[in-house]
Amino acid sequence: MRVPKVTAITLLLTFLIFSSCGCWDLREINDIGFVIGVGFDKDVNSDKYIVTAQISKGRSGQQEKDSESILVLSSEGTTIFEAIRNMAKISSKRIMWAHNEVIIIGESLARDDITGVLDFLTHNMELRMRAWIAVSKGDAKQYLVQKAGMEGIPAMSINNLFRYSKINGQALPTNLIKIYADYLNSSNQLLIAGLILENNNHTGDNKNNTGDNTSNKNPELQTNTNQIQLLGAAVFKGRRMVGWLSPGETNGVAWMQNQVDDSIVVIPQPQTVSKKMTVEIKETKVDISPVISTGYPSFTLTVSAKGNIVEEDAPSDMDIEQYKQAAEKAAEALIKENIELALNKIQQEYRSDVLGFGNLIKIANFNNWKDIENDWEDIFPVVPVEVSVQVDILSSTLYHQPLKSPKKADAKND
Amino acid sequence: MINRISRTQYYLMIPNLLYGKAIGITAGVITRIIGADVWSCMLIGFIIGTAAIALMTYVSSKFPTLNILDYSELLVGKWITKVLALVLCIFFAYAYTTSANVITLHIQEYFLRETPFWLISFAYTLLCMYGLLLGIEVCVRFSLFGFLSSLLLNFLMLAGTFGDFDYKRLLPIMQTGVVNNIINSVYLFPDIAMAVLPIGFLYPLLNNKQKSIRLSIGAMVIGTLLIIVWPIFEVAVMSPETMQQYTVVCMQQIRNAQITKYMPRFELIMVTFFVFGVFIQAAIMFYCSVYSFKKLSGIKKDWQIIIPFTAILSYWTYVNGIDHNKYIISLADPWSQICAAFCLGLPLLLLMLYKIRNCNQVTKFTAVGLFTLIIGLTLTYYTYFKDESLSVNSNCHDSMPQINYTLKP
Repeated sequence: MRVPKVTAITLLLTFLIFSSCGCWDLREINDIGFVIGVGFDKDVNSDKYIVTAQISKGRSGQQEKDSESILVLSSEGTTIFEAIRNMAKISSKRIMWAHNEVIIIGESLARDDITGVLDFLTHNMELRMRAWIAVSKGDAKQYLVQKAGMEGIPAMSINNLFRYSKINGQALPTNLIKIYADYLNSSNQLLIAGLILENNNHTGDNKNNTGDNTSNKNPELQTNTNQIQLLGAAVFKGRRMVGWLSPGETNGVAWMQNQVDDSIVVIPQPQTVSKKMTVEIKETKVDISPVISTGYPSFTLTVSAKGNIVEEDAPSDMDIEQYKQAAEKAAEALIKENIELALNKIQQEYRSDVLGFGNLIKIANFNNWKDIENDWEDIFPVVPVEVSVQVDILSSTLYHQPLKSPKKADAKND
Repeated sequence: MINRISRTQYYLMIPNLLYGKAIGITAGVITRIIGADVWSCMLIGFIIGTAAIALMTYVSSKFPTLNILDYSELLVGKWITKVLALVLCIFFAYAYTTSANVITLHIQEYFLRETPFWLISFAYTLLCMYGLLLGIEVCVRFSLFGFLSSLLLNFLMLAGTFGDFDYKRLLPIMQTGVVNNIINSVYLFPDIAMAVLPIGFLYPLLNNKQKSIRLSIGAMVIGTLLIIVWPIFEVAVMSPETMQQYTVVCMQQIRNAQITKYMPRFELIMVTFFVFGVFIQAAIMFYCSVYSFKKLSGIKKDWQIIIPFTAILSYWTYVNGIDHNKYIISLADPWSQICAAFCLGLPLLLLMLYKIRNCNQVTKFTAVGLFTLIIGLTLTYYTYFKDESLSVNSNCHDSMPQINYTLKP
């Protein structure tokens, strides 16, 4: 046994040595360009895909200190894969998708057909399904060439916009896992976060407009620059986008999906309705229950939230408990209004079940769902939804009482 | 050379025999058939498998120093045993290729796309060959390390995907019906068979055979708990529709795992933990095939069989796995049915033969013949005439209460 064992081991080691050198899949790190953000558009004239990739250059050494941190490449092809392979004509490095954080789909492509994009993103072993996905107003390309945020790589800024979207409450943190699951689901329609590019005056950008933190060098400089905003949402029916939800409507959807922790509600101040106050939402519970009866299904949507008063824009001489109660009523009315706005838009105008109501019926009564599944597209727009909201304001943050005005002059003017 | 395995090694070997293929490939196969009920279907399969392993251990315990082929020879004679040895040799050889292709698919589809598939198949078979040349006890002794690796892998998967867990995707439980779940649990039997049948070969190596049935059942329970979290989390995180798209479902799950923003991609670490358990599974399949051929041929020296088998099995692994889609389809039909027949039928047959061991040869032949006929007919029926309406993609369902509704204008 000893001799054949030695022979076998020798053969094994020899083979492993020869098969290890020059690994087929070896790629040196300095030969790789890491894509951090990618955009997909479609040229309506040629019907070709345009893929735009924001690639991190990976700075090293003093001589690269002042150079750009990213390179944006764009190429086209009849399929997305071909467009990416065409990028090799202009890219000096092999492009790697493993660290892609943000996927932006241009509006024209979204309105045409999203299948090619979703298939490419999920068919590829390098891309991760954790990447954020958004539909842009206009072409996606402009969002990737635009400077954004405080990060060196703009796509990382967009990544952080998604991470912090809940505090604003007017955008949805959509990632590829959820979007792909909804795409494959028989009843759920897609609802993807929206990106807009808006002109925004701001002060103090340095002359190179690199986005570096040097705003105090030239404070008198005032430049008009476009800012990328994560705002609203794109509604899909099947594979095609059918329209947008406004920020207020998206807020309603965010409430229904319970994506509003740490967001705010701005309501009229109880005593001076022309002035506003802000309530910060801390804990939310949302329950959407289908009611299946001999008629068609209906839903009850119950929202309960806890919050704190964080800002009052006018003084008030109300007792704190009365103040809180009035604020609670105003907050409940506003939240209910936003939810009903969203429901009205989604049901009446778009007729698209982006909220997953069909799935809830399936969970509640699987047998009945099988009966109405084929007609769900016609049933969903007419399904009644009863909304009830309860807000409890726990405190006025640091204050024990509402802000009172001690000046007599103010009392005369109010 | 040590030729005994301890109770701990035996106990931890069984979860390793189940783990590798069940979490990645089998979950996808069953999801394509039964949808979100994959986890309940697998749970039922494991319960049936626990009964099968208890039965196999009971039969083996009646012949504590003999392996399955040795006591078969006592029960049915030399020539039927040779037929059994040939059948088991081919069975375990194919089982080896299905186990080896779990790793080759993981590596080829997600890591080494340019590396030739034959190279990965050959390298892995070479590794299993090396393990066997050292002795099967060496491979089984690896079980503790494999088990701990599997635990770590589970922990990493749970930690990385817990934030995306949506329990609603699991509901309603058993939506396709209890009967459907039981019938479709047959698709778990390729994994169950890899745990049950090797007991017949490895039981004599166990150093302390007291309460061995309890030991086997306990090991199956641990293996079930280790595995069942995977389909539950895969359904809840990815959705059953997403699972249906992929050949290697577990890789899709762990690719999306993220622990805080500082550990976004660590699937290579997880695959490193995964390999140890799968290696034990493949090595034991290889061993069982080699041993069956040894009994068939009468060759005394193991290496004279292991080395040629290495060449044959690496080629067969390549042929079986080069078309990834055909490999997955073959796992569902007819390999699942064949494994169910062997896994349940063989222990039952041996038990029956044990009970009638004092009867004459004619009775034994008749019993064996009848039994084989029943198994063969069941297999044939299930493979070619099964009710397609039980599939999740079917359009026909049991009668359901009709609801009358009118649409508002």
